[in-house]
Amino acid sequence: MAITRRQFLKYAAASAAALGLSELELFKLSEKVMAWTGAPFGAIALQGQACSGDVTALLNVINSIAPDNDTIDSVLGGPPGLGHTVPTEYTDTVERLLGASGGPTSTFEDVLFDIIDLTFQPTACGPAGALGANAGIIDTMTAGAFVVLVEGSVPVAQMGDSTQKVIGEGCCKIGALSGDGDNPSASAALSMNDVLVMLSDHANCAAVIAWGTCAAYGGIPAANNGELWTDEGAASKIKFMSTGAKAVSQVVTGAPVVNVPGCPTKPEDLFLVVAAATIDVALGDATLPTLVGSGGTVGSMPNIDEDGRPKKILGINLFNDTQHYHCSRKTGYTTGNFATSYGSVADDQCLALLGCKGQTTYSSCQSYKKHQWNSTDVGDAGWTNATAIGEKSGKIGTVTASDGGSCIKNGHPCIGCKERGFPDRFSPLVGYNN
Amino acid sequence: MAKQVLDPVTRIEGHLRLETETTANVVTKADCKCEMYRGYENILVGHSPVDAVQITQRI
Repeated sequence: MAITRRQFLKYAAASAAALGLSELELFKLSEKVMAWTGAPFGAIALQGQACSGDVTALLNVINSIAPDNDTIDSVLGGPPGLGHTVPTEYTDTVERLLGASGGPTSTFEDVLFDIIDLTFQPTACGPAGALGANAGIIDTMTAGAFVVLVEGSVPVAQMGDSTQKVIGEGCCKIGALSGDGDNPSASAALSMNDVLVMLSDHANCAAVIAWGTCAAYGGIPAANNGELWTDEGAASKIKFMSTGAKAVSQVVTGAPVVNVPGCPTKPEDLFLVVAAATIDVALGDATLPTLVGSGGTVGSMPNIDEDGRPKKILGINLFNDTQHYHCSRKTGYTTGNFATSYGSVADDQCLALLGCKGQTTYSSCQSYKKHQWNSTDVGDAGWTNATAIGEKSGKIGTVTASDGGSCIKNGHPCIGCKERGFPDRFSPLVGYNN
Repeated sequence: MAKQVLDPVTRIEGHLRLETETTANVVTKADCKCEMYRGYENILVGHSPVDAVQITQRI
């Protein structure tokens, strides 16, 4: 599905400010996008042991508040009479999202859905059951090149002996290919492990994007190191009944895996990685390795670091710099003005004494001045007309609209949610200064 | 008596499987099955109590 340069610039321009793209960078990206003559990549989004936080953060950007009945009918095609009303404080947001005439305005989400053809995403897609599984997954797999977006960790292999409850891959079944309950083998639930391996081993699979910290590194389901069995005998087996959650990169061998961690992942990070994975875009600031899918060379991926993350895309910092490097509270750090208790944190106070992990967390949360995933400043217009989360919640301090939302800006120390080893590595996640 | 399976249920958070049995187009049995488990209670064991908020909110 080709898009014109004009369409792309319209789509991306509103995001450019938030992404920090300079005009030159936007030009380079748009040139490459326009050169793409391939068919749109199929995209299949699977959820393993997930909380749906990543897709929720993405959907918050695309469609933050349920619009009213008439708008639902005209925009989403839903049934009338759903009874949604728009709270008055969100009318601005809905206006920005939907446009004055009620039609949807677009930012990067349209590029996301024009360059890729997302056929299955369990939280958002309509087709359910065998129809969804077959049309959304199997048919996409066989139709042509596709990428898999994986949320959540993947439990693998049955663990323990037959006297224990079945754990491991039995902890995550995601669907059945047939709705015929009279045929148990056809309508048996498939495990996440089996479906992910089936997709990633297929020749058409170009890349697997581990979306979120759980998919990238195991995350919370893999806390306590996912270790179940120790040498300490029966007592330890009962105490820690882990599910054997694994990261996507520990399961997938048939396609390149790119980690886009976050808890949840910033929608901008995912957008850039998907764009880089599916179109031939010259990205980053060094010679790029070209990942080879099992079906041949597909696209160019950005620089990948030792944790499987793209450090930068088109010069945009994703995981190249720490939170601390760009922190809005750095003057507090350099002048020794540290917050010492919760509840009375001024905007210029450093949170290091409250256990902030910003010095060891590589993330772009502090890099972008404006749109943040947990900010109400969404839509393609009115980037300067934001109502930041801080202002809504009445927090102490003077977070300004242009700051957008992020944990640190709103007075909560960073918990390192994007790093390998979260949460165990950073426990206790917050600190106390006494 | 016929049996039907709907798996996955979409447009929800999480994983859900529905199984029904019908006799002459009347549902005579219906089961919901949640087929994903992470074990949050077990995960919390051994962690600092201050972690509980940040971990459990990810349910």
